[in-house]
Amino acid sequence: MTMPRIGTLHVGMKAVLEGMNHEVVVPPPITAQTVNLGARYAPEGACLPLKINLGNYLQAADEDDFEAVIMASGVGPCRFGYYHRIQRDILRDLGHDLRWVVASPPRGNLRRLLGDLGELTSGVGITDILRAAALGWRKLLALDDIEREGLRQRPREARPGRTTRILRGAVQMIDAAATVDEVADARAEALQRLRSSGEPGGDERVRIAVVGEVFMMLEPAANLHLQEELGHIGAEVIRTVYLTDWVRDNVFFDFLRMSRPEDDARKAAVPYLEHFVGGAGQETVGRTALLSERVDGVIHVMPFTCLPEIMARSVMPALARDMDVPVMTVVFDEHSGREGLTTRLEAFVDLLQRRRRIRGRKRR
Amino acid sequence: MQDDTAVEAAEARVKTGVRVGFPRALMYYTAFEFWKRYLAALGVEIVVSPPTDPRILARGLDTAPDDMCLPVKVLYGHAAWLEPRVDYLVIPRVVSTRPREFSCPKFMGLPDVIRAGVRLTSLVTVKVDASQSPRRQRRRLVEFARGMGFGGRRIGAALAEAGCVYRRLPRSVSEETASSMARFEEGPDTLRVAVLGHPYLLGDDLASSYLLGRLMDCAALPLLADELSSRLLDSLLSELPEKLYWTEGAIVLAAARHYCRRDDVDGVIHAHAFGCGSDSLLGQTIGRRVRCEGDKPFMNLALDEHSGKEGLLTRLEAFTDMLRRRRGRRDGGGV
Repeated sequence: MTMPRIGTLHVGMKAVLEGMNHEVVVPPPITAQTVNLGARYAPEGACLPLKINLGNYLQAADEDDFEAVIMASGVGPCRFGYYHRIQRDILRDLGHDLRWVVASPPRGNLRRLLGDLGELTSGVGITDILRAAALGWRKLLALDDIEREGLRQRPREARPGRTTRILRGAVQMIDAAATVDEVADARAEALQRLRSSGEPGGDERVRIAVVGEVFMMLEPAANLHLQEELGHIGAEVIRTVYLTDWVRDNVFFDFLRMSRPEDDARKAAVPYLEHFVGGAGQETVGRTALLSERVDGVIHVMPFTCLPEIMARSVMPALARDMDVPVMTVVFDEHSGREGLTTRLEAFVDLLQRRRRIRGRKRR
Repeated sequence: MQDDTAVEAAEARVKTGVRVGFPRALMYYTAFEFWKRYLAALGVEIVVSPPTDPRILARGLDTAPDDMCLPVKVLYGHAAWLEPRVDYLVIPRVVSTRPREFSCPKFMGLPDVIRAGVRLTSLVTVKVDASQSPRRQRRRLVEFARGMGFGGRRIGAALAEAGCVYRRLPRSVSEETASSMARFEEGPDTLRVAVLGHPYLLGDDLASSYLLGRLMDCAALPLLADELSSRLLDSLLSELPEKLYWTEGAIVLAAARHYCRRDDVDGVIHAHAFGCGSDSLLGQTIGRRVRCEGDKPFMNLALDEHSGKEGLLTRLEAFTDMLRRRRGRRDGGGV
């Protein structure tokens, strides 16, 4: 079976699914071709994540055979919950009649989650399931830790591109790891290499928080490697959503009805966006409000036509003014180009550096 | 007891002198009667903005964020028109109109974001959430009236008279177009074309580029989902193979399925606003359903503020021409 490419998700999913004796076809890394392919067959007004996912499945189908697609779904009002239906229809029109294993948010309903995923686990012993799940989860946690350290180290790197190379190597090593011990070793090694790759100092570097729609933040190809670019320009990036955070919040905490960090973000948004608007709209506003004191600027990423983020974007100017923090919104679609993005990022970092100098502060 | 309530309501109507504005946009086309009853029972003077004209539209385009769909931009224009003319301006927060379903994200956050575009000093909002218990829904209506300075007794009387259960009462046709439709004479050549779309787009003549009127100019009678009784609509909705969580989107799809099955329908047009979330995805599904299962000619129209009059006319003429030829072939004989 195949799955969408979202950051390092495939590494974890592969471990879980192969641990349950399923054959996994991982779509190739996302390139401009992936985006064009998806955009050709997807509805024009659909959001970029849908188009990219569709491109993933089409490219995977070119490379290998599979009978099923596994992906998640939502309950609205963001359009994500409808992706599988649209993608299934389009793929069927193109001659790919596939089975769809779709996991909706459990929302406290264990039976529903088991129902969605039941066919995956049939015939597999419970210990194997738990071992596979643990391995997959550990891999994702390790990759997120490494990514976090990478963002911290990249602006300090002695040679441009070194951080990215270490990260890529780490993904390969962890993907190949067969036990949790091997994962732990790979993680430790990657962290050590990252920490020794950079120059000290960095109080004068601007700190930028990245907020916005979840897929856009998790998949570097979708945001045209924005976080890497910022690091190369010399800014330290604070990512507000990591894959494991998202899974933890939306699967575990939600299931256990515990309060989630997302809820704090939603509360902070209330003076500007009082109500839930789907997706991560409120969270985007709230995270900006909560982080504004600790960063020099905020970049808001969103796909063109994303409704919840349009709502967030509409209230950002007032928020930016009140919190005295510059916010730049970057809207992505299939026509977005890397050059244009780099120009905007350089200008933004420039602005933040100048602001700092004028206000005579070293660090907020 | 009942008489006292009626008398109180009548007195209230004379006494308050409070002017409350309701924009002729969005919710006006789906449930104005529901709020009107309540507001009238409270005794306020209801002011509805005029049908969208070029100045209102321009104001909306100036003040609304670019990526909003046209009907929302139109609302901004109406809000700006009403603001200096009323004591309170109502912008409902429609979250859900059917249990476990949603309306659009834009509606959920509308009262918050509109403040960023239009300077509004007298905005009051009322939350509509059919997924909440009737008691909580009632409380929303109470809060709404309190926000306008009314007290418990008057509110209680108004609720008793007007009721507090949200009811969808669509108007997909403006008053002017409705009178044109009433005067429309059907002849042997008249086509019957089902027009699918959200009421707040179709019912706004300027925003819809006078689509319904132009269809009639092509000797085609528009059929609108308003004519479907709520019982029929409910049964169509329950037949949908998969649960759709956008109520208005689901209604359009349900109407599509209905018109597919009718022999008296020559063709189907789906009009949607550029940027409409539900229609951007459902449009595909609707088109597929109509073409494949219904075997009816189908045309998809994306409307936005840049829609050219000529382009639309050309497409409508081509479509209706095609429908006529198809009918001619069917009824016997060649082209």
